[in-house]
Formats: sequence, C-alpha cells, structure tokens
Amino acid sequence: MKKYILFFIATLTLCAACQKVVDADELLDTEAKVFIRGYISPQDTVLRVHVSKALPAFGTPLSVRDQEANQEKFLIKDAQVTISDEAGNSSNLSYSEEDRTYLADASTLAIVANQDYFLRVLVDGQEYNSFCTIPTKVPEINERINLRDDNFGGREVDINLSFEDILGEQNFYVLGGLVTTTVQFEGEEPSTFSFSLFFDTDEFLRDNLVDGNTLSGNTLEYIGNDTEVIATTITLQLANVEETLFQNLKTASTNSDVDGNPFVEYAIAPNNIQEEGAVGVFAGYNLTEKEIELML
Amino acid sequence: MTNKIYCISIFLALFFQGFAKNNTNPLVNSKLLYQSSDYTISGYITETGSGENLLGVSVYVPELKLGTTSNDYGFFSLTLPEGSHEVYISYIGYGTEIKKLELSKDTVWTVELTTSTESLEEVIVTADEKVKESKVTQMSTVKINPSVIQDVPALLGEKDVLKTLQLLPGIQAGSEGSSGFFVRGGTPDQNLIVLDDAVVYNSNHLFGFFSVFNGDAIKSVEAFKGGFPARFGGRLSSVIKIDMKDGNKEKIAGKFNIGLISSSVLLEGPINKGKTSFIVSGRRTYADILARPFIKAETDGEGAGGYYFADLNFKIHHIFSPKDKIYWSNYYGRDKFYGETNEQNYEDKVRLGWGNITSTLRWNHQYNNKLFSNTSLIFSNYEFKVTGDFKETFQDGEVEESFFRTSSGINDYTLKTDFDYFPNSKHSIKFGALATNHKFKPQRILIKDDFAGNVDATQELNSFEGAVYLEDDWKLTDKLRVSPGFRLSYFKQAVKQYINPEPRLALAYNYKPDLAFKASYTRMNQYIHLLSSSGIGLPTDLWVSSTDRVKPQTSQQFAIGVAKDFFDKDYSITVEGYYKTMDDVIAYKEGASFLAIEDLEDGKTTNWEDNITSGQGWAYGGEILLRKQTGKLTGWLGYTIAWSERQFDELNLGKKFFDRYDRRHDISLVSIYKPHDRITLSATWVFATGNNYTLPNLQRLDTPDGFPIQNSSNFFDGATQQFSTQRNNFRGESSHRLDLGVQFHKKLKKGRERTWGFSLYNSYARQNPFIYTTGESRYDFDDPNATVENELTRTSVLMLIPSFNYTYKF
Repeated sequence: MKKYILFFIATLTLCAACQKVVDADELLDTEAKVFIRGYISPQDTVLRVHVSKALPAFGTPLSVRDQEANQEKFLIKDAQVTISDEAGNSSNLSYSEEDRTYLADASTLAIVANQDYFLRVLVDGQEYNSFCTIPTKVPEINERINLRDDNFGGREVDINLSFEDILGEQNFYVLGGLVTTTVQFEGEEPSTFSFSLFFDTDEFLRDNLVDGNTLSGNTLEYIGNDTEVIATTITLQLANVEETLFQNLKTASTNSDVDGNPFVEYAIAPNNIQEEGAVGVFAGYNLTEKEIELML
Repeated sequence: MTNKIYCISIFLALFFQGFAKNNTNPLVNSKLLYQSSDYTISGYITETGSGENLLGVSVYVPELKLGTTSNDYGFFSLTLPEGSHEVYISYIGYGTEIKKLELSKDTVWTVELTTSTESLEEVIVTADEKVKESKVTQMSTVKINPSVIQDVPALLGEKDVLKTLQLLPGIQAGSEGSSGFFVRGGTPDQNLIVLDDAVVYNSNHLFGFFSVFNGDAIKSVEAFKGGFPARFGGRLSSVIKIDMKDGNKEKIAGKFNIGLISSSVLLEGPINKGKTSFIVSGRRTYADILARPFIKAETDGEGAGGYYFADLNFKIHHIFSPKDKIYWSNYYGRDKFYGETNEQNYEDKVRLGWGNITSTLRWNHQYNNKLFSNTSLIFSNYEFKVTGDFKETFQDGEVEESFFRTSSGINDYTLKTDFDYFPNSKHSIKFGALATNHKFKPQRILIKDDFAGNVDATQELNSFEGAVYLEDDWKLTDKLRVSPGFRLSYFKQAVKQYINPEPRLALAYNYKPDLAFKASYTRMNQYIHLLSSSGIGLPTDLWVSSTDRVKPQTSQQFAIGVAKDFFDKDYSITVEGYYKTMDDVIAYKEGASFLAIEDLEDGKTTNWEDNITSGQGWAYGGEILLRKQTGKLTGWLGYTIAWSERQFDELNLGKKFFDRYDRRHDISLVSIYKPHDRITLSATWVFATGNNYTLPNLQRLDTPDGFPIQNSSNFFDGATQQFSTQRNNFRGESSHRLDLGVQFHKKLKKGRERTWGFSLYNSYARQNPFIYTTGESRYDFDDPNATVENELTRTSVLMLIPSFNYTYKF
C-alpha cells in the first residue's frame, strides 16, 4: 500500500515541486548550550555526570571520518562538577578520558531514597545548578513466566512483570530486563552473553489513572534452546524514576521510534537545569531487580 | 435514557407545532397583543426565470427604519403600521425593487428579483438601502456570492468554495494549496460545515488540495467566525453554511464545464412546472483515465493504478401548496486511489477510498404570515476504507491468498426542527431543537492471512447529541439592536452525560446611520473531535466522541467591532477584535499517531483515548475587511493579525507554546473587474506568515547515560543525537503569491452562453514552503577531510500553474 501512496506523492511532487536547502540559522534558535546529564540512584557504584556542549543541529559541520575530532568539538574536559546532599556532604567528580564523562566512586556520597541531591557544574566561570530527589524503591516484583514452543521450532518466553504502585505519591516507572544465556560448545569453556528485554508499549508506566494499583507489563522473547545452552537467566528490572528522567527516556524513545514519520510531532526533551545557557536533566531513580533461572 | 431524549425531542417538535397551530389568526392575536393597526406583509422572494428561492434578501422601509431579511427558504414577514409605505427589496447581485403599498390589511407578496446583469429598465437600481454591515446586529459573519467563487482564479481551474473563504480575514489556509482552514486560531475540526443542514465531516478531496463542494450547485455560502447565533452549535470556531440550489422551476437549464483535471455537468429543471423541480450535478477528475495506457505500457501490462475523485449533488424540491414545501437534497462524494499488479506468480489489488454521503429531507410549513417552520431529517456519513487482496503462487504450485479490509467512519442520524417567528417589527425570533445519534466506528479491521493469523475486530462508539435553542433579533431603539440567544446542549456517551448552557449575546449600536459599533459574546461546546496527525485534512483523520475520559471542548469568545458603510461609493469596512479561550482542546500525545499509514495493513489496534491529551488554548487578534460588492470592480482587501497559543500538561513539558498555525499576519487582496458582459478579469494576491514546526535545534554526543535499563533510545553509538527544546520552535518562511484569471463570455442564441476561462496560479512562481525536511548534506567521498552537516530543505509545490476551462450554459 505504502508504495502506491509514495508513488502518488512522488508523481504529484514531480509535477510541480522544487526543493531548496534553506539557511536554518535565520529561522531557528541555534545558540550553543552546555549539555548536562546525570542519573543517580542508591544502587550506583559510580556517580556519573556527563557535561559537554550541545551544538546547533544545523550549521555544525562534522567530519565524515574523524570521529575523535568530532567529539572534541563537543567535549568539555575542565568543568567542575559537584554533587552534594541535604546535609552538606559532597563529592567532586573528575573527568574520565575513557568514558568522556565525569565520574566519582559512589562511596564518596551515599545516595539514599527520598533525599534531595544538588548538582553544581562550573563551566568557563558560569555556574549551572539542578537538584533531584531519589524515589522510593519498589519492594517487590512479581512475575508470571510462560515458556513454550514457538511457531519456528524454537522456544519463546512470555513474561508478565507486575508490581504494586507506591501509594500516596505520583510515580513513574521504567520496565526492562536482561536475558543471560550460558552456552558451552564441545571442548570449550562456558561463555555467557546477554540481551535486553523490551516491554514495548509497557516500557514506560505511570500511576496517573489509579494510585496504589497493580501495574504490569508484558514482553515476549525468543529463547535459545540448542543443546549447547546450559543455563538461561532472566533479570527483571523495574526503576521508579523521577518525572524528568521518565520524560527524557520516553522522549528519546519516541523520537527514535517515529524517526522519518512526517505525521508525528517531534517530542520535546525535558530540561531541569535552572540557569539559562545549559540544558539537560539531573534526576534520581531507584532500581529493583529480580533474577529468575529458566528451567529449559 | 436515549429513548427519553428522543421522546423529549419529538415532544418539543410537536409542542412547537401545536403552539403554532393555535396561533392561526394572526390579525386577531396581533390586535389583542398590541392594540394597534399593524398589518403584516409576508411572502416569498424568488429569482426571475428560475423560481429559485432567495435567502438573505433585504426588505426595508426607509421612512420607518424598519426591515427584515428573507430566511433560508426565501420567506419574509414584516409587520408595519397601517398607511402608505415604500418598501425596498434588494439583494447583492440583483436589482433593488421598490414597491409602493397602501397597507390596510395583511398582505401576501410574491416577489421576483432579476439579476443585475439582466435587470430591466423599470427595476430601479440603488445601492443605499441594502442590508449593509452597519445595519445588521450580527458580527463576524461573511457572505460569499457564488458568482465570486466562479470569478476568482483557482488552482487548475477548480472553483473552490473553501479556498475562496480562505481569502477572507480570520479564515486561514493551512499549507500551500490546501483547502483545510483555520478560523480565529481554532483547528479544522472546530469548523462546522453544513450542506443543506447536513454536517459534512471531511471537506477535502485529494489529500486537501480541493474541497468537496462543487461550485455549480451552490446557491449561497455564509461563514460565521464569532458571535454565533444560538441556532448553531457543536463546534468552537466557525460555522460554514452552504445551501444548494433548489432547481429551476420554469425550464430545463444546465451547464457543463471541461477543465484540465476534471469535468462537471449540471442539469436542472421542472418535473411539474411551477411545482416540482430537480437539480443534479456531477464532477469527476480524469487523470487516471488519461494515465491508464501509459501505466500499462510502462509495466508491460502487469500494473495499473490511479486516483480520482467524484461528486454528485442531487436535489428535488416540491411545492405542495404555498404553505407546504419539501426539499430532498443529497450529496455523494468519493476519493479513490487504486493500484493493481498482475504478474505471473503474484497478483495484488489495493484500494484506498474515502468520502461523504449526506441526505436531507426538509419540510417547510408556513403556519401563518408570522410563523414559519422547517423540519429536517438528516443523514450524514463519512467513511475511510482501505482494502487489499493478495495472491501468490509458489514454485510448488501452492497458492496463498490473503486480504485485509480496514475502515473507520461516522454515521449521523438527525431530527431537527427550526421555527422563525416574526411577532412584530421589533422582534425576529428563532427557536428549535435537534437530536442527533452519532455512530462512530474508530476502526474496523478484517484480515485473512494464513501465515500471520486472522483478525476480525471492530471498535464502535455510539453517542447522542441534542440541543434546544431560542434567539431573538430585537430592535430596542432606532439605534440599538440586541440579539440575545440561549442554547442548551446535551450529550450522552455510554453512561456519561454532559449538559451545558450556551449563552449568546450580540449588540449593535448605530452611532450614525452608516456607522455601527458592535460587540458579541458566545459560549460554545464541542462534543465530537477530530484526531488529526497533520492538520492538512488527510483521510486518516478520525472523528471520535467525547467520553468519560475525553471531555467536550468548550470556548468563550468576546468580540468587538466597527462597521462602516460608504453608501455613495458602495464600500464597506469592518474592523473587529476578538479574544477566545478554549478549554479541553485535544491533541495527540508526543510521539502518538493514530492510523498512520504503516499501521493499516498490520491491523495494529490502538485505543485512541490513550493517545490523546487535553489542554487549553488562547486565540486573539484583529481583522480588517474593506469590501466593494457592486459595480464593474468588486472585491476586497482583508488583513488579519492573530495569535494562537496552547498549553497541555503532557506536551512541551507543560509550557505554553504557539500553535502550528499561529499566523501573525495574513493579507488577501481580491479584485474582480467586469468592464463589460463579455470579459471578466480577476486577480488575488495573498501573503501569510509562515507556519510553526518542531525541529531538532541542538545536537549532543551520544554517550552512555549509566541508566541500567536499556531501551530503544539508549543504544549508544558515540555519534551525535539531535533534540528539540521547544515545541513549534521553528517558524517557516512567509508565503505569498499572485493568481490571475480571465474569462471570455459569449452570449449565444436562446439565452445560451459559453465561457472560456484561463488562470495562472502563483503567477510569479514564488517558491512557497509546502513542507520542511531535514537531512545530511552531500559530501565528496574521496575527500579525506570531507564534512557533513544537517540541512533544512524546503519543498515547494504549485508554482506557475496555468489552466483553462470551457463552460457552456443552456
């Protein structure tokens, strides 16, 4: 069907169309900004805040082959990045060349649920601030797993992840997981590989309809059942996240899903940096995980 | 509950009729009430030669400063004191007739008006006593004479009602070439388009390039942008009232038109002379027929495809007696896109079609010389349908067949009754009731596919909409007129009910006879909504009902204005300012798109309520219209300055933003010059500020964010990721164009006439933006230092489009 419609639109366009590259600088707000992103949680082993430049989407030439040179255009390596808590304890994060981000060991600052944390970033004498609150951890994940043969002679696993919404507060949840498979070929050592579980439309859930209800998501995944597979573990993940983090992930996911569809509005990235001149999100989350070994 | 509503509606209709029947002796009643020697002149006003009823004709007595206008069916009633009077009867495009009268009893007139070009000498043509802008209470209303639609230059020669309306201030076109329109900061679904009382849900052909209204069969077009009378409701932003001709009652007449992309034919005439008339008109495009041999040759006979649209209007009018008349009007319109493949091992047949069907049966009854009623039974349908049949033969001889059928649409069944009551010369009262049963079908899917599985699913939503209304045009003093109105609307979907009062008020104060200050207030409710991804009128746009989760949209509009007539030059100027608030307006959530084309074939079902969000809107601005409607040179200059803002909790991070069609400036200049009866020259020039779009304005490094749950968005590749910080952050370039037209008319024997028309759309080939797209620039692959950057590309369409058409009238 789509090919006919495209053919029709192409014909119409060819009849009387003209395409011209226009100067977006004059039509679009294209000021460069500082980009800041940091997600923190009690489960962190490393505190991580990314600070770089956000350059105009139009009018910024990038090298086709030299990715290092491109990255240099964006990177900010001399920022001062500090996270502090309500009691005034703080941790300074240092720039890591390897990760191209600012890091500190999580032991330098305890991240605790329902506590506020403050981010301060100093770039070229300009100070940018933000703060976040760590959400409550969901105490328990329940699952219903149905392992069965699929239509192609393999095995598939139908997973339902459910949990009780935390009562009395507005919550935002992100669902996910991992499938970890261990295989051992004859004469070789066992090896392990993992892939992610996607909950599709149930990936982002919120309790805006009913507070304190049971929420759930479903996913269906192919599972290898070759004789070489010696173990398969499913790790279910549920993060109770702040609204800005929820929006940031959802926006990126949405824009990625509908990329190229002219009939869908581009979703807007959230921003909780207080000062002008910087954009980004500093937010907290609390992760609950549960491992289940599949009996193939 | 629904049954009760039906009962109440029927009771109201009967009650009004009963009330009317008791009032059978107007003379006695009139004397009892007013104790004065007032008498009533009443009757019908028709066009000479065709017997066509004329609506909106002014009947005016200058010495008393009293007057009225004929209603939608040509009926008028004017109560005057006993004595001798001069009554001016005038209508734009027709001569003014002055009747002298010695009024000593109730009088019935049958008035025939002759078109200006055919006026005989004894018909005195004056310009000073017509119903002028300064003499009506109503504001924010524009009438378009169908002859204007025929005269202004049109894209590919397709005369278009809605595109002509877009040339008026406050009514804005969507994108280049589109017939979709936006009134005073509203959305296309907030426009109520009624054709002979029936709601037309999708007014577009060819993805919005043309409207569904065939200009040949149209008698009048009236657009209300604000100050809505209480008889109209159900939409927030505008009412476009289109009336079809009734058909020539005297002789068989007709015309055919051959154009570049379509041809049309109209035939009208009496079935029973003076009693029954018919009119039928049809139009079809034929690009597909012309292209068929080329497609066949190109595909070695294995492929076929094309697109066409067609309209059919059909109406019968029968006069039972001077007091009882019926009208049965019908519209059928269809767009069809089809494609076929007939290869040796593979065949497919795909059809995509959409269109409206409306049918209205109306009964006019004149109870006496002061009370007139119309009762209508109305059916309105819109359906969008996609079908595909596939057959594949494999090498082993196995044949696999599959098909899909998917459709969406709405069916409306309406009973409506309206009364016009003219108790005396001070009041003109209208009241009535309506009841509509909406049957929505957001999605019907039937898929037969042995491999992927069968699907048979239907979503259905039924709802009931009812209303009662009362309005009066009350002449308080010679200088002050008030038009209060009240509408009570009711809506029920499943167990959820909404009852909303809708007060209306319009005031006009004549500071001088030719200068009036006006003000109005309206409150409107809208119970059905259009889910539109694009706003350009795609057939996938879907009408849905208010539910317990989706509230009705409401609006309040305040408007003030000045209307000034220049009698000696026959110019008029209106200046208006408005402020409109809209609550519970709906929009798609970010990233949501219902019934996107790729969803159709896989039968993916989406609950539309989950995809939408509601918010608030504000629209405000000013409009100027300078108009000249008579003489050799006619036309208008319109200017609009406007702002339109929205706020949704779930869009743009909850921050206020300018609407996509927030258009700061809009100018239109329309001129039609007829130096003599053999030639018509026309030109339109339009200017519009660009539309708003959401584009990524920044890019950042795509590096790991440390979040432990991986989703489709956080696969990091080390390159860059673009993002946007504000909805509608990009305002497109302004557009303007000049369209030119010329028509050569030749009168032939026996009243026949042929016309050659030529037009040039966008005559200076301005590259106006149609759509903007983003992409990467090209680079030299062999250059080791090659760079690439994002580019914004403007696609322009419809530059310098010539066309011609030939019309023959008989």
